[in-house]
Amino acid sequence: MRLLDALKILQKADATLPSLEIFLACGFTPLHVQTFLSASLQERLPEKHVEITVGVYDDLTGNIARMAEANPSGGVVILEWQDLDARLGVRRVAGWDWQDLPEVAADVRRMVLRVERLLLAAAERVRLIVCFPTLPFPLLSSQHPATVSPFQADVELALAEMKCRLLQCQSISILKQSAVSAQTFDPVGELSFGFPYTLSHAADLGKEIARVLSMAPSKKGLITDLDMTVWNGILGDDGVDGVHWDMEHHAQTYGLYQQLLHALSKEGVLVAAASKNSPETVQQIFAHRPDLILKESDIFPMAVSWQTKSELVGNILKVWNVGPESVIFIDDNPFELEEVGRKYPQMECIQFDPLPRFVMNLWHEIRTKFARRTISEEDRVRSTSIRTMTEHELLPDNSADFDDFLEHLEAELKVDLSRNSGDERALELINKTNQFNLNGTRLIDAEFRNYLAQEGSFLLTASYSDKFGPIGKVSSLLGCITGDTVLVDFWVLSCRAFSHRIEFVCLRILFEIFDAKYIRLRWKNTDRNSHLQDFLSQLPGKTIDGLLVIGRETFLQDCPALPYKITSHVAKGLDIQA
Amino acid sequence: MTMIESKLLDCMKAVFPTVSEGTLAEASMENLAQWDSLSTVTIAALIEENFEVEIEPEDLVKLTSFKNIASFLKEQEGKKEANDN
Repeated sequence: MRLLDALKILQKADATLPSLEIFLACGFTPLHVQTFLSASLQERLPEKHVEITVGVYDDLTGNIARMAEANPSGGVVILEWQDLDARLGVRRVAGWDWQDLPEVAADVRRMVLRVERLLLAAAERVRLIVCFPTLPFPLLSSQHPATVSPFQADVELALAEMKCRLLQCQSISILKQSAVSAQTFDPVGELSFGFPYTLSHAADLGKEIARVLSMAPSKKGLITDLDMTVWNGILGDDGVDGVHWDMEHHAQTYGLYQQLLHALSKEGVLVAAASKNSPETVQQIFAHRPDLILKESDIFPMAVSWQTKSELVGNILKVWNVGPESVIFIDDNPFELEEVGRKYPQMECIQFDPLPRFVMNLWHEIRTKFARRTISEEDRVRSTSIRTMTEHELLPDNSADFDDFLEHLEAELKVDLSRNSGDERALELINKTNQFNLNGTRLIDAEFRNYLAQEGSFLLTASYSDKFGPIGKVSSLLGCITGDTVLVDFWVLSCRAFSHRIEFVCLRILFEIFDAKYIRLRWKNTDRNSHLQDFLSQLPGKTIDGLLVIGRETFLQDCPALPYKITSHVAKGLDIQA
Repeated sequence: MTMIESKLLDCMKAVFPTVSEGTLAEASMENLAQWDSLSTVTIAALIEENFEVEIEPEDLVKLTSFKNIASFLKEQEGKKEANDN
């Protein structure tokens, strides 16, 4: 992005849109970094009005403290060498020499600890992105510039240790240095007006920070072809022993692709195969080739038949119960990609190519699309629970049978009420769920935190398990309590927990825990929340001022049996009136 | 208006979006309240980006009005042509 384009983007920004307030804390004049960050974010989040606040010049630690007090939607901290010690910059000179370097290193260590404490304190209130020094390391030691001096290693170690400690905090992300440009330092800018970056570096940095700040929700599933994609060869023609994925057969990139799919599956990504093959042959390869890196247990469902690819993909989506926009389809055959793409235009279809460069790019792309900061319990059991649910999906038709069925499930629901704005899974659910979503509104991390910072606000989450095993957190609800009324602004229920009456349990819990007379739901029909619409149509409520109002008595009268073992936990500090 | 002035006006409009073109063509640090030292730095960066010239620290002090900047750019263009010949 050019500076002129960035300024033009900012001119066009609509100030009437909901604002997204970002605090940029750095020790230098933020100047073009502020412009590029603001413009890149504005471009990525057109539904928001981006506002960037900055601190004062040459006071990084003070600016971090100011950021925490300002309580913005998000915080960006850019560290540079001179913030750690003035002797690492070019704006101050006072005749130091090699004998001073141990003292500089010791001062850097002290400053690192101070910055770290401030960052951790700020991260309790604001989600942070921290960018470590991107300028070349200052040449203070006598060593050749092309070599690393003990002094540099010492300073870099202090920073590396700080990174490790900061990453223990869920609210801090660290920008990877290799993500930004090579030509970084502009001595003219630094000496003339305290801005040390080249224009292109400022643009790259702004773009990368904006990318991290506005990350799209990750995809849920990956559907892959098998022949010429997972392995080199055609199973039906070459036989179980005639297909390969190793160096010896010049097919290592297929092995790399298998490695990636295996890792994704273990991380909770849904991985399925859609292959035009004989099911028996595919079964044989998984039974007789233990050297396969991608195991049969990594794949569910294994859609193998002579149906069209779009039919196979359709069957997989049905089993997963997810929308095509959350899924990536990979196949080597352009015809199949075209056929699936026509049927599911929202699905991203990628043609597999075994060339090393392609596979490494694919790896990067897949890692971007399926990025998640931590692997939760829900992620670990997702594939198993879908498999189990599918195998046991024998839901009876009439209500009495259904009550009996639920009872025999030995279902347990653990409900937590808190103001825990660090609950990543709760936020992930809000941003990924479509079919049972109260109004389709998505939240960025900062909005989630700000909502829970409001007086009277709360987060309800429900975790489900039954005799087939745990599913984990399946529902996330954000609301506010005012007097005898609970206002629900956000509510989602994972598709994996449909038909279990968990939605009724959530409402009953709200009535009971808050001793509420009314629940008001901020609902809105969307193209995709048909399951929610069905549920709301069953409730004895009235729509007033766009909100569905449900009275306690009528709700409890009509509420179906909920044969659950329910445990609820209310976090300390939550203002429960009853 | 020359090509240089027209292109310069486009840059100035990006820095001072609320100021009319007529006012910008006559603007200087003295008569335009929004024009501070940071605006000059942004104007300098835009000039470097759009006119392919390098601005040395000592040139910054010349960038105090629309007319001065236009003259500076014409001077730079003259130098470039002389070098090319």
